Amino acid sequence: MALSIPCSTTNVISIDEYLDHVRTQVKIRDFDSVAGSARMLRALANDRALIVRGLNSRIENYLADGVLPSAQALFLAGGDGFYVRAAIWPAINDMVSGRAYQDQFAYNLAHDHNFSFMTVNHLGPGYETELYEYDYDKVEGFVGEAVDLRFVEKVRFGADIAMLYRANRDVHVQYPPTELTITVNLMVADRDSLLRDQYFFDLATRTIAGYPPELAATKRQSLLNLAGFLGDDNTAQLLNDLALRHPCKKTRLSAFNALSRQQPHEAASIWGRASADPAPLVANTARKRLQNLENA
Amino acid sequence: MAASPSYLADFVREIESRYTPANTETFWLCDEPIQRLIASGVLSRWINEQLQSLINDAQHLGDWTAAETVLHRGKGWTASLAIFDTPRRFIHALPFLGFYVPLDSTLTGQRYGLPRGFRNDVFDPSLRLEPAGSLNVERNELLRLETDRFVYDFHIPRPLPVLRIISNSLRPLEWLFSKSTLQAWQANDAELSSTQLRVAAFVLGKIAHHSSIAPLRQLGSHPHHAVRWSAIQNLGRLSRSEALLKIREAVNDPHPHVRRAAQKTLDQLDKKH
Repeated sequence: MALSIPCSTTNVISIDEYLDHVRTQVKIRDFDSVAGSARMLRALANDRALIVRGLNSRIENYLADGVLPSAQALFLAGGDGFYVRAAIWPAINDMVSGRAYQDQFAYNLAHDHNFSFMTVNHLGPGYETELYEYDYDKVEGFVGEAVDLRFVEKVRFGADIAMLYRANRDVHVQYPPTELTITVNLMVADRDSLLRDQYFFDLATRTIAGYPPELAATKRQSLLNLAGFLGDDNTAQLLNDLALRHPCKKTRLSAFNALSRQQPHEAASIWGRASADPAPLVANTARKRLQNLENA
Repeated sequence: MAASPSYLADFVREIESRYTPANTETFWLCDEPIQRLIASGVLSRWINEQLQSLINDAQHLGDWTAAETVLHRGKGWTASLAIFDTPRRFIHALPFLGFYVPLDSTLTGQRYGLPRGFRNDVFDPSLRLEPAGSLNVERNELLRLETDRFVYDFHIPRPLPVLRIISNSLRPLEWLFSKSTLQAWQANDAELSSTQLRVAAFVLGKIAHHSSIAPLRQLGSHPHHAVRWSAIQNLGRLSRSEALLKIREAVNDPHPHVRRAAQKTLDQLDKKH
């Protein structure tokens, strides 16, 4: 389950001290090492002016930061393989009254992340979160697929704990807090996450409900779809290379789709090759396409 | 701004020699270079180069989103490729000027006139679109999106790749109209940055740290009326005297909602004393 780490401290450190600590003391891809740095993240969040400075600067620069395309997140600083951000969680009353737009904030939406991150509270009472876990390797990855989501606990995310979420394992859903809450997060931004999936889940049916639009695989799919429509004589070979060799299963599937759009007369052969793909998502989709072709 | 490949450089140069963002009418001078771009066949070449980048580096990410892949972000304009594949729930009054070019088959839809009295920055739910005929744009033809006069609702019977050359947002709000009644439904910020600034003002008001007085005062002059008012409201949590100055100024604000809210606030303060 997501790790709750006691991290009470009255120490205060600056963002530069924190970055230096992570760069020199934390193995960012090592879960235990990240967990071991929770007290330092707490000390950073103890800087009462941390977010004020960031937001003042956002206004003064009229959004020259432009790093995180979200009204909820505020980029604070970054290093090799990680970055630090704040997340803003408006209160339930501010949502109801319209002082904050609900659709700008990630509430009531069960999801995992394809990166690990650690979070501590900076301001306010903390949000409530329901935690689940699932086995990423047992999921095929199509919308509507039943997933064995195991409920772990519902917690109020308080002042003296850090929560460490594991990539593609912990699922959470956040509920609006009673008062404005701000969290400070250490985000593990390893390039491998660009190849992993991330899902929205429907808790009522325990199924995959969709994929976030900001997912790298979704962006690659956008390009590959265009290639299926607008490609020329040289495109087929490129699509074929991606279909056979790209390490992301969703990207391979998108490449097979684009190929079959570009070369409809070769569709049976294309889906035949796809049916040998090691990922069930690709192979099973291919078998359905072959079946459809036979029935047509 | 990312550098464009050399075969797009001429196109970019031509657009930027014609379009001066300060004079929005010059946007319509861009049709010829767009037609030449389509005829040149370089769009396939550009896509192939993106695919090759992905083969060379599986983790490579270009300027792609779920909705479009960007060919070039210029000074006040963007060229991108998108696939129209999902009908929109509402009819959107777009905040930018644009040329849309269907690249695979015909683009069809309805065109509506913006209602009399329409003012982009003053949302009015009583306004209703006026039908202004159907659209039929052949493959590789240019559709001029004259969004200062018209609203477009495209039919999407099948996925359709489209070249989009659009200006940056020229108006603060994007209105949504009901497809069934043609009535105005809601208006959203045209730019995410406006929403981010309003959230920033809201949070700074809640935290109420004295260092935010100057930034909020500055934000009180933002071009977007909702950002201005949010800044003034939240300045009131930090400094009553500063906020009063801004509220008194806001009584003469160019936006009627801000003027009304400022006057109401002053009236309430008078009643309390």
